[in-house]
This record gives sequence, structure tokens and C-alpha cells, in this order.
Amino acid sequence: MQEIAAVAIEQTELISAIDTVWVSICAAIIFLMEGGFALLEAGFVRSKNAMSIIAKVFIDITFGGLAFYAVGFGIAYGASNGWFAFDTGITDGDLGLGLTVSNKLFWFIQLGFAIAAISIVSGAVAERMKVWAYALYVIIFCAIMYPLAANWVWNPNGWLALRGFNDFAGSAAVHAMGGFAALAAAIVLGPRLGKYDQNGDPVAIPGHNLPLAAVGGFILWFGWFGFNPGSTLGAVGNWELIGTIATNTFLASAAGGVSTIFYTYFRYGQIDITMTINGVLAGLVAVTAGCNVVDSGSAIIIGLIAGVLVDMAVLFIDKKRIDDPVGAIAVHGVNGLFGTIAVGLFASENGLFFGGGTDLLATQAIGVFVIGSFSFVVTFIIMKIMKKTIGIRVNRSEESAGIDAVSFGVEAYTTFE
Amino acid sequence: MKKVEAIIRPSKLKAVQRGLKEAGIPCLTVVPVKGTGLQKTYSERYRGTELSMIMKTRIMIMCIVSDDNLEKCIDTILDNSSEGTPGDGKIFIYNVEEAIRIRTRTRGGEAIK
Repeated sequence: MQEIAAVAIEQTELISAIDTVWVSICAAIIFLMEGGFALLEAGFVRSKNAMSIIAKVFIDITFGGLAFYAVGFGIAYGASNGWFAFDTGITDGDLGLGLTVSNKLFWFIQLGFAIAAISIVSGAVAERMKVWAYALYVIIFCAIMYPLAANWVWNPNGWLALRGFNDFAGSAAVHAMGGFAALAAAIVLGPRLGKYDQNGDPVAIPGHNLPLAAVGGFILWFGWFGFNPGSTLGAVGNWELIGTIATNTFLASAAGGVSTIFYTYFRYGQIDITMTINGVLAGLVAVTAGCNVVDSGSAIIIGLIAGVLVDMAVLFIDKKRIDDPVGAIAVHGVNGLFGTIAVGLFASENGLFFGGGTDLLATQAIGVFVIGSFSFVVTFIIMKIMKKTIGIRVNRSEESAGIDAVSFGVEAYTTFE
Repeated sequence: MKKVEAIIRPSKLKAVQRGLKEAGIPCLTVVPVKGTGLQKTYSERYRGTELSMIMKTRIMIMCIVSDDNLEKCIDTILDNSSEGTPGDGKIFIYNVEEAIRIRTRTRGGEAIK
């Protein structure tokens, strides 16, 4: 009897050990995505503002990370009434998620999602937002806003979780959340000086280091193989699922790149490489919600659609006089929306195209609509209030001279030696 | 003593440098420059939006030569920098008042020999 008990204990210990290795590796890979955001955004802005965007990503991680520790995690994963929970820090008790890893490791992997969501916003407000106003917004976003969405989607008692909403790794909770916040922030901030000519037509402001932006894209791409497969939160019992997720994640991203390459080639006669970076990311964002429930063919179709959607969205947003220097709204907002709804269409078991009816589709649409609107409206109000009080935009002379030199006293590329 | 300032295509720099070296007047200073000449404007695209008023990338070569070497220098640049199409660039000649070699403080024509 004692021997059997000892073996049973040993087995749970082993399961936890294996799952801990898996989750901690994925969490670290997800964390590296911040480096991807930093390089992608720095490459897509002018050199005079390259350091200011790096500063914003540092603020995402530092201010946002501590806020998510102190308040955010408790709101997301505490005992929820369906809409929110009240807890602080990392609770010791059972979170009801059937975790085989410690709550602290679970917190650490969730931290990666929270700071990824806010880093989406940092790109859209590039080259013009005041750093302290941004820091305040980061704290609000990571302490309250993002955790509420996570609560609805991933807390076992969340109202969307209970409805069977499938947002596996966060097309809605992370990407639509960040993307629609980015949209509201970009609208309230207004376009960069010189982004639109006297007729209101968009003027191209080329990024200063496109290879750097591409490397940022590659790091994000790599990070996604922690982001999606890591959302299994354990390897034991999931080894087949992890293979499916990794494959779907890749197929959608490759398809997104392919469709952007063809779309830009046939539209302009040349392949647009910077758009291809966005196309790959769009495929990744779109498959994030459904990577656990779609088959390989569907993942490719989702990616192909995402790659075209992102190109059209970039141009559309530009024409609407919303200035998004890095394409964050098109990549994360539009494709977060599309990817979440796509689950309702392409899920192998209960998607509309697979004879599953419209129940799941409706749930997916409601969920992402509520999250997107929530993110947009709350961000819009916060930005408006900050605009009236502390100010959100650097002054004209600072914007002309470059935020790096004026606000930070550094330049990205300085000396002759 | 003259200063020869030539704005040429970046792809021609190696050939011009080699030509000048073979002609025995190897001293030159180059600056990467951006600018626009008389040729028709053209445009590029960045993320779907057209870029107008583009500045083309060119190389500016500066050579200080003795009056005797002037025509040889000009010919070498002309022979090595032309594609025969608009955008080949320009050469400008200036008078130079003085040249001083920093190491020896030598002045005048000796300083550039």
C-alpha cells in the first residue's frame, strides 16, 4: 500500500516537473517577444525617435510587469464572479485551472501575455506620445484593463469561458485588446506632424532601419512558438496537441506572408517587404485563437485571409487619417478580430464550415466584439482625460527635433568614431 | 591648384578610384550625399503610400590636384563614371588658395605631391 502511494506521489511530482520545464521555457520564449516589439518598432520609426520607442517597451515590461504582479493577476485569475475578481499579488490557492505548475510560474507566463498586449499600443503611439502619460496608461492597462479581458476569457468562471468561447492563446484577449486600444490611442493623439499634406492625403514617413524591423519580426515569429504552444500550460497529456498547435502556428504565418507577397506584387508590381513582415505577423495573430481546434488546411486559409486583410487595413487606416507608424492596428486589431471569429467558422468540431452551426460563431463574435469595444472605449476615455489634464503629446518643437534628443538626451546613432 | 568636386553614381566609385590611382593622382575624399538633379522626378512606395520628392543617393568625390593634373583627373572621372543616362552626375572645379600637410607643415604644391 505504502509503495503504491509513494509511486503515485512520485508520478505527480514528475508530471509537475515535466510541465514546469515546458512552461518555463515557453514563458522565456514569450518574454523575448518584447525584444521583437522593440526592434520592429524602432526600425519602423525615424532615427530621431528610435530610442524613445525602446524606452516605451522598457516601460511596458517594468511598469506594466509590476502592475500586473501587484493587481493585474489577482483581477484576472482570482475567484471571479464572471466579470472580475479581487485579489492582490500571486495567490497560493487553487485557481481552478487544473494547473500542474506552480501559481508563480503560471503568473510568469501570463506576464508575457500582459506585456505583449501593451506593447502593441506602444507602436501605434510612436514618435509623438509623452513618456510619462504613456507610463500611466501602461499601469492602468496592465493592472486593470488587460486583466479584465483575461478574466472573461481564461478564468474558469469568466463569462466568456463559461459560454465556450475559444480564444486559445489570445487573438481576442491579447491582440484585439491591444489592437483596439492602439486604435483609440492613435485617434486621440492625432497623426504625426507631416503625416498628411494640406489636402489630407497620407504622406509616407519611411522607417529608418528596415532590416532592424525585419529582425524584430523574426523575433516575434520565434516568440509565437512559445506563445501558442505554451498556452497548453503543460506538456504531459498535451504532446499531440502541442504538435498540432506548433504546425498550425507556422502554417498560418507562412500563408500570411505568401498572400501579402502576392497581393502587393499584383497591386504594385513589386513585392512590399515591410508589408510582408506585417503579413506574417497577421497570420500569427489570426491563428492564435484557433490553433488548438483547426486542422492544417484551415490554418493555411486563415493565414491567407489574414495576409490580405492586413494590407487592406494598413491602407484603409492611413486614408482615415489615423496614423499608425508600425501597422499595429492592422496586424493585431483587425486580425485579432478576424482570428477570433474564424474559430467559429473553421473549428473542426463545431465551426460553421464543418457543420457545427452558428452557436460557436455567435459566441466568438460576441466575445471579440465586447473585448474590442471595451478596450477601445476605455482607452479613448483615459486618453481624453489625460489629454485634458497632464497632456499626452510632446510639443511641436520636440516632435520636430526628435524625442530622443529633447526628452532623453540621447541619440540612437551619435558619434563619428 | 584646383579642387575637383564630382557627384557620381555610387556604383561608379570603385572604377573612378581605380582610374585615379592608375593615373597617379590617388588622393581623394568621398562623402555619401543625397540630392536631386535635373532629371524627371520619380517616386517610390513605402507601405502602400507613394513617396514623392525623393533624394537620390550619390557619392561626392573631392580631389585636390595641381593645375598640370587637372585635365587628367577630369578625363579619368568622365571615362569611369558615365552610364550615358540622366543621373550620371556633375563635375565642378574650384580654385584652391592653399594646401598644408599636417605632419610636416609643408605648404603649397609640395603638400599635395
